[in-house]
Amino acid sequence: MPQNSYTSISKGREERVPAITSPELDRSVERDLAGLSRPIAASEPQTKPAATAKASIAGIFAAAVATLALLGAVNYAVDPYQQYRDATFYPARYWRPFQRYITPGLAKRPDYAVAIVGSSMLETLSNKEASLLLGGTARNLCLSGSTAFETGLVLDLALQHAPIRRAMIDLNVNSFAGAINHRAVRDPLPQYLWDDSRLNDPRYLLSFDTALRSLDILIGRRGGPEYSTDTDSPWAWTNRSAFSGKHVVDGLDPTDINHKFRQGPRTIDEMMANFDANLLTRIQAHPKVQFDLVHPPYSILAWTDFQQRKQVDVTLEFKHRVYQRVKSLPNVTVHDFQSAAVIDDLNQYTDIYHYGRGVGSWMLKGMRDGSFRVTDTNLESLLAAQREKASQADPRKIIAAYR
Amino acid sequence: MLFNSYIFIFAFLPVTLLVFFLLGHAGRLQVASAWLVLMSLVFYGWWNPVYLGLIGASMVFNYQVGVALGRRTGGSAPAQRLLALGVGADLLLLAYYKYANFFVDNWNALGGAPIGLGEIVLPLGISFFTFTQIAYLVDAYRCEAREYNPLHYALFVTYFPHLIAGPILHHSEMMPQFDKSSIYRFNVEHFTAGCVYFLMGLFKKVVIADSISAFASPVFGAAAAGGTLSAADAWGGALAYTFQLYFDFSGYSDMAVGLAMMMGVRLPLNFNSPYKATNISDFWRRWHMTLSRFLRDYLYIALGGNRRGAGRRYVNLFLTMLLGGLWHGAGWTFVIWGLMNGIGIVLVRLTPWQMPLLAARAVTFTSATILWVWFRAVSVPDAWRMTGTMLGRDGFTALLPLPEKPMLLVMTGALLFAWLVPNSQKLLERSLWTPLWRVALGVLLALSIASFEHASEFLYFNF
Repeated sequence: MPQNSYTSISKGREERVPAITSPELDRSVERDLAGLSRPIAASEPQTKPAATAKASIAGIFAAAVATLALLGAVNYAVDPYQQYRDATFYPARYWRPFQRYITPGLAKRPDYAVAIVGSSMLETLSNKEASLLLGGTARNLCLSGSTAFETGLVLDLALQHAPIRRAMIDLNVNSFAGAINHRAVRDPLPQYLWDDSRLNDPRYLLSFDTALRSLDILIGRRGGPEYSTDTDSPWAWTNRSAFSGKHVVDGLDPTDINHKFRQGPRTIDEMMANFDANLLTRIQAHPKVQFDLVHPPYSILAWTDFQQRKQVDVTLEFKHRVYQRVKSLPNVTVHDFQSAAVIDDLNQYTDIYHYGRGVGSWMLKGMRDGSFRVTDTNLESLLAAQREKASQADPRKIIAAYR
Repeated sequence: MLFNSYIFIFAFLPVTLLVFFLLGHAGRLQVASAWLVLMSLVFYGWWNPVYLGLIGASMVFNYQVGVALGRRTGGSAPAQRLLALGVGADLLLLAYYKYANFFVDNWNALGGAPIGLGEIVLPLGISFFTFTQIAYLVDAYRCEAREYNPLHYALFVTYFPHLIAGPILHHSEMMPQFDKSSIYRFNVEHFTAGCVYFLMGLFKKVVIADSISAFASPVFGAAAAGGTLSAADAWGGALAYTFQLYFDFSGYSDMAVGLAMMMGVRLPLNFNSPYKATNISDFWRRWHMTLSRFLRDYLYIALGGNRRGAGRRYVNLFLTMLLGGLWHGAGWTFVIWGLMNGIGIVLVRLTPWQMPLLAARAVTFTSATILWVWFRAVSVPDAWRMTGTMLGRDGFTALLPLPEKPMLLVMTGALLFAWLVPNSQKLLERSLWTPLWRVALGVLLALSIASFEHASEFLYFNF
């Protein structure tokens, strides 16, 4: 059998090893295989005296452990995502891109009695104002783009870790689309921060990314991802959004309002499955907690969008069935802010769904007063009024009026 | 299971090695081999146990065919039929899982009677374990493979360091090692060298490659979305991917070599500073070397090599690279990428003169960078658009403004690293055993572990 010449890369010199090529080939053929012709060298362990090897491996591991210990100590002391304590020696930083890293830490605090959970529809509510109006220290734990599944997870943390007396839950219809474990945000949840195990905390404490955030705080660097230091409304986006009818209608196609928002269709079965699995089970498991289920006030243009996409019926049916599910539960109140005149005033909005802080304050007061409470007597008339409004609204006229 | 995961480094690897060496020290070598096979299957089935049956069936089938081939005279008609059966079954399996959707999509696009196969999920590492076994069958047919211990054969196929992303092993280099009793006993020198190799690969993968990916993905994403790219953006993205792929795949290979080395097993090297190559032929002698070896021994030579004249030689080279491209992925971008590499290799053979070293290296690196665009792009139009932009279709004034400073710095650093820093095997020969190096390596290990939390999947899993 012909032999091939193997160049030992690890040793930098030629050595002979058994051939693996076709027996009929001679060396001239072998050389002629252009880019595919050079044999592969097998690597060889670079043997050192055992004592040196032992000292080396011990030294490497010791240096690694020392470095990780230092990293972990700094990250634990600074705790940039506030997993162990509220920010103490520095102004808290609420990095919006890391909202799903920070929120579980906030939810696990034992120092609040009112939890606000849901999507961006309730995200801008003030903690102080909610505390005053809802009768207890409040924490706004809403997540941008939250689905019912994520809302349920946040609610779990709050109910397990804090002496919750009251929970305000957002019933944004878009959160109830899809499967019961659907998430709208592509990045995976950092589960190690959402569970109660300390064993996986090294994934937070020994992370280089966490260290970068700690370093930003320690040296006062203001660059990097966008963040807020407002403990009252950590995730409020109202100060960076324009609120006006002109802004709302900008870029809207009157014949296809949803073109800008790309919301998918919803089915009543999916929505109710989401409600039952992610919210109702938790509500039923905590009869001593007062739950306020909130239908937020979408602007009139959102209703014209529902009309265009044939989503009015499913939206109203959802409201109807949710009420039927919970009406016998004494600890649940449903509030529907949809019927208020505010939805016609696009100057209160930044897009067809999202309203400003003033509307949020008005909703809190409405909850305190019970003025938008859904009851057996007003349910059908409320829904009929909303159906009527949706069918009557003309998106061309509304958009033209604000342009 | 990923090499760069907590579960692998802090649980799977220590438990696997500890039990393996304890069994070895107790003289239970067969049990130790069986343990490694078992743990390799656990490693493979960690994500999706469904495909354990597939790899198990493939292994049993190929072993049986190999044994039957070994008992027949090489070249005889029964042996030829048996070889055709074995290789054909392997290729059919690969064709179904890897290429069926590609062919069906193209058939449907051509207007044939519509065929629907649904989504076929590609089993991890199928290309790797299929190729290693085809080589075994061919060599058994050629009477170059003896009848192996079935347990060792199972270990050869499933050996977890190489199982899902190579290197592509050859039975003749692995089986004799599994027969040696020395690999079953803990050897601190081998273990230390393996750890160092592993951690260098880990650093390349999780710190360098994953950091660079942040510069590549947005550019290719924008190209796929039909966005407009400047020449500077396109070059920046292509360069970033060029480095990402190298550090990712060579890092993985280093980890595989290191893991085996911890057990005193030598795996073939897969990379030898490919971006220092002076032409495309040279590049393929340095890049994914075990694949080049396979293509040479079982495709190029099987096609006739250079034995049928110059013209046929070039056709064979061309075909080899074309099929090599298709091996990397079921898509026209991979086919074209393979074709262009084939053209490059033929041109090198036809060129009678050589450029000065630095110029040759720069031209080769630039060519590889352009070719990687076709490897990475989602579709042919995307690749065409991006390549056109890079080559001045929109004018070279679009090269200004230069990419952002962080990108320039990272790309420059990566280029200097690839060109000037010795590769892992060379580094290992040097003074890595001084106290200062120990501390440096320890810090590298710590930084790598600290980077797990944003770690991404290895790029080569789907090839």
